[in-house]
Amino acid sequence: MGTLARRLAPAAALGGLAIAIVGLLDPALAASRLPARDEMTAMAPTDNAAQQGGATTATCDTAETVTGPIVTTRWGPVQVAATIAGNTLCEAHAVVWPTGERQSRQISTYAVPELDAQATRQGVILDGVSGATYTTEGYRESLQQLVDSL
Amino acid sequence: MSASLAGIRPRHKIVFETMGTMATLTIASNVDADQASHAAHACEASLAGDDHRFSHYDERSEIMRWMNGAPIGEAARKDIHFVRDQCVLLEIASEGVFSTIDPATGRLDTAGYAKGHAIGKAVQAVRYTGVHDFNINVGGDTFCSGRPDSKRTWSIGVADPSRKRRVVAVLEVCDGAVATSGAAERGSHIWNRRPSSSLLSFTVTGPDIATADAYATIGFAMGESGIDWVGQHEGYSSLAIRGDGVVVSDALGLLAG
Repeated sequence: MGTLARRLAPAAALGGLAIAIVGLLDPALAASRLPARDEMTAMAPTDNAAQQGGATTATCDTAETVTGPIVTTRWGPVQVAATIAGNTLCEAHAVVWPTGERQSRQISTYAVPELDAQATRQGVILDGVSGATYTTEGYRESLQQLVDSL
Repeated sequence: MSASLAGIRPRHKIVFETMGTMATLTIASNVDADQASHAAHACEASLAGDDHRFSHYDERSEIMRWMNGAPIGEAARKDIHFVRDQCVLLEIASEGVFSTIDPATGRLDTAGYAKGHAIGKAVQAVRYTGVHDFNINVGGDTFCSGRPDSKRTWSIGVADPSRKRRVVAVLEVCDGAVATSGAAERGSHIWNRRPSSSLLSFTVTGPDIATADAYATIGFAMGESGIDWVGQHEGYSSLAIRGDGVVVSDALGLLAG
């Protein structure tokens, strides 16, 4: 994904549905590594829960930190950094967010703290993947299959 | 971290083949193994029943027999009528973008709604067994019920259509559907795709899986303007990936709300 644009929805009644985008990831851009932030380093030694649980997957203590591209939204630039181990999103937080305009501040007040709050919320696991319908054959190469294999 | 991650495992996970694709039922760890097994059987049986009912690939399916004028059961007939009527309503609401007629055969085609309808019924089947915290994913369309554990909501990745095994976003869902339509779609009949649409995929979230699935099909066919169209419907929101890789969504409103 080269860039990102988001638009505000008209205030919609959500009912029982609560959805938040916790991170926009671009692992392909792993070349642009972030230096580990203090809190990431601090949590790393205890992040071997998957090993304790007997799983053989990568764990958050071996996770790579990757940054998404700086993307221009109508409110200003947004950039998200994430640490990923296998299919586990260990952490995601905004490293660049809009400032300046009134609209931008409004977004920053709500949206970015929401993204940033994820920095302290550890161990975000993918429970499933939504994508264009695949065949039984296609499932074998899907991320859903990887999630299911854990 | 250690405690919280170790504490939520193992969850119950059942993977099975249905409707020409793979289904995954994930059940929260607070459900015991017997109950999870019961729920899994109910889920699998429900989907298998609807595969037999709505398959266009099997001449012996109930809908094919119904179209050929052969007798079918009363419950099947009512269910098929319901799905047909929903398809017609969606065709009207989308001004013909969603089509109920396969142009190749000139026959009724309910594939754009029937799969989501079947997932919705499987959700009910699982709930009837007393299990309320679970997630069903059938070929990339998913419904989340309750929570995986007391500390989390369900985290559903939106697949990156350009790169295998990557996600472009992670959606947090308590009770609701996440359905995606894309260019690599199997079994979804996007007949009336507008030439202006160059989307790679279109994801819809909302309370009802069959509706979300149909809206994803419609949104994908409409192109970027599909986001506004979907947003007119209360409770539904969308995220589209454009041909140039730009992610466009109104989901930020959900964050701000």
